Amino acid sequence: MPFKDFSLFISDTKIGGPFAEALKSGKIFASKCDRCGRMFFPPRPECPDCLAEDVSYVEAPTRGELLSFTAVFVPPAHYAAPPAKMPFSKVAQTPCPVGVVAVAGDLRIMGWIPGMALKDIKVGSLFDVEAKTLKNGQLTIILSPV
Amino acid sequence: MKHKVAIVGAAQGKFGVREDASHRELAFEAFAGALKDSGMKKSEIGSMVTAIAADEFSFALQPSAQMHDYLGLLPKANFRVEGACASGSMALRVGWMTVASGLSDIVLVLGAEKMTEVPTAVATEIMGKGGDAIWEYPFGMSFPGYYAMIAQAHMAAFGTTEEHLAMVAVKNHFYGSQNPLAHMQKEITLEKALGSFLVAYPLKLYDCSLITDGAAAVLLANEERARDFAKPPVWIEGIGTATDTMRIAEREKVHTLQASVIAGEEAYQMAGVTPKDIDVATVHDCFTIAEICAYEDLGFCPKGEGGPFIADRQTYIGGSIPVNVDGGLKSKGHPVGATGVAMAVEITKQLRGESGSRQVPGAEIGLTHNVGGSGQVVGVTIYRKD
Ligand SMILES: [Zn+2]
Repeated sequence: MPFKDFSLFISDTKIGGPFAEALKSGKIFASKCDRCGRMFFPPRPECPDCLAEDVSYVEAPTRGELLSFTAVFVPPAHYAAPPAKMPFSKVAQTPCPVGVVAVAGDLRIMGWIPGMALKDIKVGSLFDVEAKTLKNGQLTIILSPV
Repeated sequence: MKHKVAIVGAAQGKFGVREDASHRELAFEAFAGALKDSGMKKSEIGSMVTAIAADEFSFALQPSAQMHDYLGLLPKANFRVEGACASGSMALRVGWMTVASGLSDIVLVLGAEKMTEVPTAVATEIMGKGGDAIWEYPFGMSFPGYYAMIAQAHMAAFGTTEEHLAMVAVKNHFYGSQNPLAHMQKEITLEKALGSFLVAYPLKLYDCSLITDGAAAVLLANEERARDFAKPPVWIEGIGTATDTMRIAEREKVHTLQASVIAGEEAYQMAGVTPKDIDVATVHDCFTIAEICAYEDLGFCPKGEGGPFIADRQTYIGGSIPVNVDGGLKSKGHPVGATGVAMAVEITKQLRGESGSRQVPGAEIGLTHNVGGSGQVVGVTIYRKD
């Protein structure tokens, strides 16, 4: 699975297929151990407490407090803007903020926060987490203020 | 433990953009420096432990073998230890274990990294994958991004300000300007730090450590050999290591590096000292916020008061606990694998009274604190003057 299906390396995981399929249908999967009931996000195909492989994929809770956020102005190579074509010029990029929400229980979900200025984002305020398919087909997760 | 362990030789090479030297030549500088410092013969070294953080920087599968061969230490034991930015402290831990167990009487611990052979964006990508490559990197997260989230959580919980962060940078540049081995030997003003461009909100250029080439080495010996060399030994009294979640988002408190707290407690307990007993410390200021967290997580000040603690100049020489008076990662530079070893070199020199204008008067007990990644592994070591 290419990068547009959420992540560079997700195709090399046991849960990448079902996770990406769920995102495509607007759902965010967590995993739940059938034996002890512990939930995991990111989902995983086994439980490290029980060493059990009997896990179910369940929809993750989607509302919670924003734990923290940032916006990465000097991005890693994959996200860097191409060099300016005009001589003596620079391409400036306004990065989308990224945050982490603690959804019901202690599951933590990372996502983009599109359409909000950095100064308006407050740690501790309530956000909803949503699966999103971008125009180019890329699957991702976004956070919206409640 | 069978043996006590002391540092009997210590040296750091020049940190900076070292286009003039290869990875193994950098290692040789530190090695030769430590050997001369101790007055030891090379043949007395029983084995070597090497810290190198990333193959991606060294373009080699076994860079530690290249170095070891180049130093002329064949056929003595050598292997590499990796703990991201704490690789140096993890190598020190393995070197300590090797001497304490009686496996070798004398061990060379050497850390070296050559980071500037790749472009900055690639270095940013390599370091960004120091987070979770599958689940965090898809959100464009960079290494500064993780610490920016720690900063944002700290500011929200305790009212820490961007000025507090900048004050850490000003202090570390002040001392770095007095350290001829530092990457960036220049003072900066608070205004300059606050006016620098954003790297990851709210962290700016001057909140970030440097991408640096460099190497450092220490020679460890047991109590039977420790006084056979040129300089008085510096004893390793306590050594603690702890770990935390891969993803910072999963931590109970994003503003606390719990592995620092636990590794610190372990080291204090083993050394039989408390935070108040520490005379001089080097802490892991890969970002200014990390130094503020370290003040708190190591017990130099109460949790949440790290901002006012630097504003009060408590971590300058003359304050309650001088921190990073070598310039820190911030100004001395952060050649990842070398950093933990360079911290041990700095504390060794401080406890011997060899630090010149940066000397903490009368320092007898020192501490180093070295963080891997964004807190996934932390090493804290406590040292005592002979
Ligand atoms: Zn279970």
